[in-house]
Order: sequence, then C-alpha cells, then structure tokens
Amino acid sequence: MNQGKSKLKRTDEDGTKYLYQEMGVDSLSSDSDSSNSLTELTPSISINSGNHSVPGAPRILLPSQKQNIEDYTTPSPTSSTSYLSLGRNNLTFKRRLCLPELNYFSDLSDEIVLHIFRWLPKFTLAKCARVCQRWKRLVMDESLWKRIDLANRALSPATLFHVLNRGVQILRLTKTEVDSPLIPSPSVLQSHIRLTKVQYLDLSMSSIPIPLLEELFAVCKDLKKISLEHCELSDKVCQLESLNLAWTGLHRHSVVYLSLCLPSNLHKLNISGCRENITDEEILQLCRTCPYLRELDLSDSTVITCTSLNYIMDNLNHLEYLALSRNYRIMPQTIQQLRHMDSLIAVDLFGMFREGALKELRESMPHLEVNKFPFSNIARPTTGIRRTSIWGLRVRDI
Amino acid sequence: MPQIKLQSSDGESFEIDLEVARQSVTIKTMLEDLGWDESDDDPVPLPNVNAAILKKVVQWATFHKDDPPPPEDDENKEKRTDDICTWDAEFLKVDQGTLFELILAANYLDIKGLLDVTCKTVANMIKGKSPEEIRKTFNIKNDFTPAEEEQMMSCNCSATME
Repeated sequence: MNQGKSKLKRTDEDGTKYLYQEMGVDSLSSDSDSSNSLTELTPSISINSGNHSVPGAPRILLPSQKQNIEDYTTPSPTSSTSYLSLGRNNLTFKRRLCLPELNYFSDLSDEIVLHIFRWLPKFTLAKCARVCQRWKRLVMDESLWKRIDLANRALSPATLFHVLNRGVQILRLTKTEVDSPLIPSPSVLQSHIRLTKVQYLDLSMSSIPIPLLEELFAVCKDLKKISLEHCELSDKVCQLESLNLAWTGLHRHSVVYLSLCLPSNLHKLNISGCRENITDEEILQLCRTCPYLRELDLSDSTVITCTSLNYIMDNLNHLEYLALSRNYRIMPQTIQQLRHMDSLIAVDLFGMFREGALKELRESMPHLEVNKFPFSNIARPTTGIRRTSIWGLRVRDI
Repeated sequence: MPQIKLQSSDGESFEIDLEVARQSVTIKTMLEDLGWDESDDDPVPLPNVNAAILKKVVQWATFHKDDPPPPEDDENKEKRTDDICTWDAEFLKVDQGTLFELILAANYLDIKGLLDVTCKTVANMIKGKSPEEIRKTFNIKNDFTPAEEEQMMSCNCSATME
C-alpha cells in the first residue's frame, strides 16, 4: 500500500513540473491551424491518404511509395532532430524494433484522437502539445480540461488564468498559494481571462491575494459550489447553494453584510469560527435571508444565546443538520427544545456537555443523531474517505 | 442461436452469432432499421472494414459476448489505463497499423468496449514518453518552426524559474 502511495506521489510531482512548464506560460495559448502540415512534409503519406476514405481497408504500398518512405527517413542536411539524423544505416535496426513507417494518427479523425487523449493525465497532455501542430491544437480542446487538481501547489496568477481559460469546470485549489502579481494592475489581469466556466471551486486553505480573489469572483459567473475555508476575504459573495466560510475571521460588519445579502436559496452554510463577531441579531437576519437552509454550522460563535436557537426553530423549517459546538452561551438545558424541530436529523454539540449530561440529552431526543462528526461536514468539499474529490466530484487523474 | 452474415469491404463473408454481432451498435441499428429477421440470408455489408480486421473484431466480440453492457461514460470515474484484461492485452499485441485499424473499425461499428480498450492501449504507448519519443513511436513529423520550438523552450525556462 505504501509503495503504491509513494509511486502516486512521484507521478504527481512530475505532473506538477509539467503543469508548471506547460500551463503557466503562453506556449499553449496560441492556436494555429496545421491541418496541411503532414501532407506538406511527408509526401508518401499524402499519396496514400487518398485511400483513407475507407478506414480499415488494407494498406498496400507500391514499391515507389516504399522508396518515398525510405527517402523520408534518410538524413537531410536541414533536419535537426536526432531521429532523422540516424540515417539510412539505422533503418534496418529501426525496423527490427517495429517502429512504424507511417503516421497512423493521420488516419484518425480529431474526434478519435481526443478519445485517446481522454485517457491521458494532464501532465502527459502537456507533453503531447509539444509533439506537433495538430496535437497542440487538439490538446487545447476544452473537453480535456474540465477537471483539474492543483492542490498544494504554488502558482503564478498567469498560471491560474491559463487554467481558467482552458474552460475548467471543476477546480481544486486546496492549500494552493498564488503569488501577488508583480505589477498589480487589475485591468491587465482581467484581460487575461476570456471566459470562465468554473462551476465547482475549492479554495480551502489556499492563499490568494484579495484583489485577485475579487477578480476571480468577477469572472466566475457559473459557480455552483465554492469553499473558502480559512481564506482571507473581502465582502464579495456570489450566487450559491453551498457556502463554506468557516474560520475566515470575518469582521462584524462582514457578518452583518452576509446575513443580509446571502442568496435566499442557499442550502448549506458553514460560518463556524466567527466567535464574538456574530450575534443573535445576525442569526435572526440570516434565518430570514436564507429560509431554505438545510445544513448550518454555527460552531464557535461564542456570544449567541438560546434566543438564536428560537430564531432557528421558528424560521428554518427545512433544517436537517445543525452544528452548535462550543457555543458556550447557549444554555445546555435549552438544547432539548430541538426535538420539536420536525425536519432536524442531526446536531453537533461538542464541548457543551459532560458525558453524563450528553447521555441524558440523547435519551430525551432519541430521533436525533448527536455529535456524529467532530468537524462538521457542512458545506465542506472534501469529506469522508474520498480524500481527493471535492463535493463528490473527482478531480485527480488517477 | 440465430446466425447472421457480415460482408467485409473486400467481399469476404463471415457467419456469426446474432448476439455477437449486436455488440456493434451500428449493426444493431442497421438490423432494426432493415427489419431483419432470421430467414434473411443477405449478408450485411460493412464497406469500411476489411476481412483481416473484421476477423479480429469478431474474435474480440465473441470473447466478450457475455460481458455486461458497457457502462455509460461516467466522468466521475477515474481514467485508468492499467485495467486492460490479460486476454485483451494479448489480443492487442499487434503491429501499429492493425491497432489503428481496429480503432477505426471499433469507431465505425460503434463497439464502445473495443474502442475504449484500443484507445487505452495507444494512451499507454504515449504515457511516460518525451515529445521526441512520442514522435519516434508514431512516426510523427515535428512540424514546429524553429521559432515556435524556441518559444516553447524559453517559456519553459522562465516557468521553471518561478
């Protein structure tokens, strides 16, 4: 098992290297049409390609065509690649190794080549882009870049924008560090981004300069799920179903702003770790703003009281999962009221009861699960055993 | 077991079990559209597949006739290429020309299992190789201009330095 892991890790490092090399730079961004290049450079293939309208037909080479191929493999004074400079003497050796004499890829449609590329990890795709013009064009195909895992890496803003420009839809940037641009000019940054299709974005514990993050939100119009746990934030928030703002150190005014402006159809909200910056007043507002909340994590909100509990019970008729761990101002005896909430299934109350009292509480609310998750799963992208998926969506290649 | 005749592009006829043939969505649809029944003796023409390749395809489809229907493409599933079964791996130990013709045939006949396994095999031939090694393996001409090559190289250097 360990062996397997270390192998994975090594592959991953290779991947990092090539992603750096290939994605943080302009080498892949320019598109050029190269459809004629092969026939131009290899006449023997162009002669044969006339028959290719019948795929699968037997390939019979005329002696003259064979001669052409040999000509093609003989050294040319202008050729700079090592393969071609091997020359005629090595031709028999080459044959013994069963190397092909024809480029069979030229028989395949773009669609089929993409079908092959679909089985390749990202860092291999990056290498493929350097093979020839056609491959470079095909590697750029958006269908190959829908899911990208760049967790635990250090990226330049340019790399980030390249990734976004690839049309990525599911992007994992957990613990990723993005440096400040050398010249912090927003207009320059915005001009990098043509179109952004990100729907699922995990920025948990990432380090991204605030202006860049705001830029990011400004161009991510399709976001469905986002996690910003432990990120440094400003007040900009987008339309979402699931929002993880745990331990973001929000100021009081930000919390007030959020409680007023969060989207009304929000289903999952993790706003744990606000400590004294969230009060009963904001909880009431939050309950009114987001009446459809199904999961809510308010752990470590040190000043809210049982008044908040009443607001939640009165307003959040869809609530299934509530976390109130370490909210010491809520009197333990008031918690029992939660048994009257019909929709509620589970509640987390770590640090609020001694073992004996907890047993009693469990007995008084038998249909509720109590303290199932020490760290709640609410709105968090990576939970349980699927350690590299976000919101259950795979991002890693292998 | 009802039998069906398939005719290759070069005129050779193959008589095979209907169930084996129906793994090809193309053939299946053709038979449905034609209202084919067991009394039909006319061969189904396959103008895009020659006898040698059709023989291979039939061999593959016969071995896999009892496989469960291939699952729909699930993007959430890992894209593994190291899960090719031993029989398939042995079956695909062929020259590149045959392998690529099998891809074309699988695509034309719409046999997902065969298309996937052949494409995976080619993907495995690409993996772990440098661009130059890939070109060599597939006899692909490097058609980048020296300027483009230089640009790619210099970009790589600056990126590595970051």
